Amino acid sequence: MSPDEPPVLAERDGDIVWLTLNRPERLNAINLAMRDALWAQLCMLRDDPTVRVAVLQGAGPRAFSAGADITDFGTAPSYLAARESRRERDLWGLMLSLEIPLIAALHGFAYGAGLEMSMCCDLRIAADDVSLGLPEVKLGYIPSAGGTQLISRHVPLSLALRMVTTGDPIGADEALAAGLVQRVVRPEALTATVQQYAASLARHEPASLRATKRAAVQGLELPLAEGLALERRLSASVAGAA
Amino acid sequence: MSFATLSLGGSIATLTLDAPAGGVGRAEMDSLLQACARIEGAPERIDAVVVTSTRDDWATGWSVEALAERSEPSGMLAPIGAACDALAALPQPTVAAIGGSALSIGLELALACDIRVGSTAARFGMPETARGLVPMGGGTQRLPRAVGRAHGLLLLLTGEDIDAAEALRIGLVSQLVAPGAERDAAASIARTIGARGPVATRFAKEAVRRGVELTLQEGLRAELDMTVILQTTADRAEGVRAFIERREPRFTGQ
Repeated sequence: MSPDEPPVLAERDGDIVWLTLNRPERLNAINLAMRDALWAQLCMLRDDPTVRVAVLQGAGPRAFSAGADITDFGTAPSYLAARESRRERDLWGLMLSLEIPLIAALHGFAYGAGLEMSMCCDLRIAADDVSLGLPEVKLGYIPSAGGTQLISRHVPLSLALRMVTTGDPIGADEALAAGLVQRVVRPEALTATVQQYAASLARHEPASLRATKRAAVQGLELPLAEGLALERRLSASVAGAA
Repeated sequence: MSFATLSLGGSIATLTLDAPAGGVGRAEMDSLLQACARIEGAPERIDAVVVTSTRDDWATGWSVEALAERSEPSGMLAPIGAACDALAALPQPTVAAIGGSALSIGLELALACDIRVGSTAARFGMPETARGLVPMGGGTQRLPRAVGRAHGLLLLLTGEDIDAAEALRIGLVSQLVAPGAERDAAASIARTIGARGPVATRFAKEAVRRGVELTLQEGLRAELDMTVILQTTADRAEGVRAFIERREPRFTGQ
């Protein structure tokens, strides 16, 4: 892979955008250049009303993404600057705020920020060779792309706490049983399966798809009565527009 | 023999419970409170706690005296379930090894731990409603949070117990092993935690435990703040250095 290759590839297939983490020689580790490219692509997904569904995948045979690129660590001028920059340009917050459905196509290693990024997606379809983990405590830190918050929202608490405190990964079967991924397929079938899910979602009326995602995702953070009120508002607005 | 016995091996503490045949009462809960206070105040570093039982069964219910306390005017005594809260509040990750029945207060003690490992012979249940009672060790709160509302309510409302396979399926335990192997399995998880950055494992526990009580947005903010605090630690610098130098890290807890 030449150094001039873009760290994130974006390809459009009708109403579907495929984003590919593209540093296969580094197991698609997320470095500053990839973060910049992701930021630009996610802004595009946010601002382009013609995109109905986005897929996130990793280039190369070995990994979706092995996580943050350690060689970038400690490059912020100060702790305060590090905190400030994360608040100013909140990549994972932007991803979580996208209204269109996001699908993660997972294979090989999905560690640290790689797994965290996939947990910002709505569907996680995995190849049976996948290994999912939050290994940060092995290096003396904690998941910092939302992992400590998202893992407990996707899997039962006993497993969530085991994953964040031991740092050890789980495989496809355990991930499927725990609900961390919705489906497991053979590696050679991954792209076609994800393509089918994406096409199926893209056939739905975009306004209803966006409103349904918003009602479910935002509703989970609200008391039930407020969530039901949100659903009523959203369903009325979609029905009124149809 | 007190109910809760604490032993230290390296940086791993083992809390061994010994429930009397007549059920768990105030003396047992006081013993657990004291053990938790000793873990909190220990001069040596404790990175993880294994919680286990002298026999296969953890505990299967309260004593007659403990249940009689319920008719006393409220406010006279500290809540009897407070020891479960103290166990849940330990800063270190806790790993429960459950070989047999964990019913009523037995299950509530297990729910106060972070990670639960069961033997295939284990059984779990919250039988209070079948006796006209309400759980008093945090069961109505921690069970639905551990397994979700549907599974939690089924256990709480029917009072019927479930076997180990069902407990694994609903996520009440995260691992099952052959009978007799549960203590080794829990100790192995605790040793793994002990090999990680000790500040990081406590922070990771706190981030998850606090986060489930917050909205996602508030939880993400808490995680970011804890991440930045960790960036100031020597262990984090050592962890990154060791990774780059392809060697095992030497964490000091600083």
